[in-house]
Amino acid sequence: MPKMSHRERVMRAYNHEEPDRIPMDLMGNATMLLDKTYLRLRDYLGFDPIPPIRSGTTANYYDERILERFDIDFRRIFLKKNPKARLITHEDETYTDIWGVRYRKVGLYVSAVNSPLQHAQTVEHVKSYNWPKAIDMFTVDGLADEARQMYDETDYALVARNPLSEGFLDRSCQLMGMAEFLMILALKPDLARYLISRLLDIYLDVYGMFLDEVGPYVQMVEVGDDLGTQQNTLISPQMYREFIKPAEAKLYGLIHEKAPNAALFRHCDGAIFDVIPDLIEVGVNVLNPVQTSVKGMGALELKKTYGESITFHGAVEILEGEVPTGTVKAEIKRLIDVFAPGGGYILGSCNHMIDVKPENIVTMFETAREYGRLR
Amino acid sequence: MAFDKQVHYELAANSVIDGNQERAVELTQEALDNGITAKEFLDNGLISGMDVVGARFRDGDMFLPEVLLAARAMKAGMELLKPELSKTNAKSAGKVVIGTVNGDLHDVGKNIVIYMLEGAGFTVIDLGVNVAMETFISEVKQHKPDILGLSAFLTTTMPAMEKVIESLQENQLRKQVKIIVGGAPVTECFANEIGADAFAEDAGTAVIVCKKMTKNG
Repeated sequence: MPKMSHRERVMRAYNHEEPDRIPMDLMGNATMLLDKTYLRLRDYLGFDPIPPIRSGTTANYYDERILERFDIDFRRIFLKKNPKARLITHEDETYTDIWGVRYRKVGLYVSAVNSPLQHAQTVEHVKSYNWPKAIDMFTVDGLADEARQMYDETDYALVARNPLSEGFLDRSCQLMGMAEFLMILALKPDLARYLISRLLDIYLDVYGMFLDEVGPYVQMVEVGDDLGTQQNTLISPQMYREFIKPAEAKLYGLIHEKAPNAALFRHCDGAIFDVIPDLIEVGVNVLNPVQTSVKGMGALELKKTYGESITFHGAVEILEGEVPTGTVKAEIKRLIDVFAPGGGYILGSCNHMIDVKPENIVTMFETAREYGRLR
Repeated sequence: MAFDKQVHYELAANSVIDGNQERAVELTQEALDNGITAKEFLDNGLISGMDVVGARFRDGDMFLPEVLLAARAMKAGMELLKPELSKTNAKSAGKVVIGTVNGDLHDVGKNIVIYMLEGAGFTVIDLGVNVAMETFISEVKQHKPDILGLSAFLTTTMPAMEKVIESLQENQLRKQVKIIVGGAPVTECFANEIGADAFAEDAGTAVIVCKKMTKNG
């Protein structure tokens, strides 16, 4: 098979046709490197320091040189932060974001230390909250030109990077406190529905302003929300269908309308086998991170059941710590054997790489480039 | 109609399973009014309801929101029983100190375990996430728990569990507390290797294991 352009390769995988080799992704939603791992890889590959693209998170670097070195098929377009939305730093080294959530950085991770709507018991209370506006959070200055240029001058599959990280369930849990929000879902459905509808309005505005600029040029748009634990869905499929799914249907509808040539990438951790048909129904085309080690998410079963209706993205789980290079190689081959036939697979790490040896990152992508070729 | 204890226990268990706080409180009051002892009602009514909740959660037939409501109903009933329980020196199911080890900020799994343990009548002291080894030691000294629960979500933080256990040994505290470990990457084999007393794969199992350990202890 003749060598394909990066964009062509990705489009074929989406269309469930086998490309010339497995498409590969890195440094997108839930496929970043934590700073320590990034810096080690950068040094290992002999690249000079560059400034981070963001701050206040655990993974702050996006490095074109590394993407090029591994021949990664995707490139990201970022919705730029409005300078007004800067984090407010406090004396105790915590900081508050534009949603009113306060964080503390501990070791490798960032953790929320308050839930500003924890005591909200009425719709009025939620209504009167100081909700951020899309235009205060982000700016689209020059974004359309940037996207057009990337589209015309490169052959990469372009991705509208997830600007919001959290989805409707994550964000509600963060604002109200997890236990509180989960009980509100059961006890005060109107309040839960109202909170989600407020979030939906904001999310529609954010994706609207982003995709009005870059929509025609992107081949993928990222969204995320974690519905699963290691054992099961966090809330029952019925509850998901009643509260979360309708909001997703509206948001994803807008995304498909404004980015008509793009696949919708959905990050969702955990054991979610039973709600995959729902995700497909609301317009998800690419499912990440595909945690095949958790309950009911075996690779063979996933491919057999949903392989024809969705593209799997990620699935490489065994990279952390002192894993021998040979094990990484064998796992990459196994995943390609299972997921690659008939297209519909994009290889990447299952969630951010936390503490991965540079040698193993190199092995992962080199093995995929070599073994992932259509034979 | 005569007051039927068995029927009453069953109603109370069901009120917990349904997460019906009001009903659980009402049935608890009725039980006390009819001369059932607090301990008896707790074990046969409220806790037996929570046992069903634990099993259903483990089997994937019940989800976190419903478990939280069940634990809340159970706790509300317990509040009414507390004065009599403390009078008769009835102990709680046991005392557990729990935390996510150093370097690890994941707490969803640990929190689920706490909701379930409290629901099952344990007194739980939550040390939170990213807990330093010294904190585990000082809290065990202070609270003298029956059980210490260590949680880790990352393969990279799992070794901190072993360090906590070693440090308990050095401080002559190891024998006075049972240790249970859990979290996504933790396995039974790892638990044995580092010298923990027990391992649980999920929150429902954690409660069963903790109950066993406090009975034998």
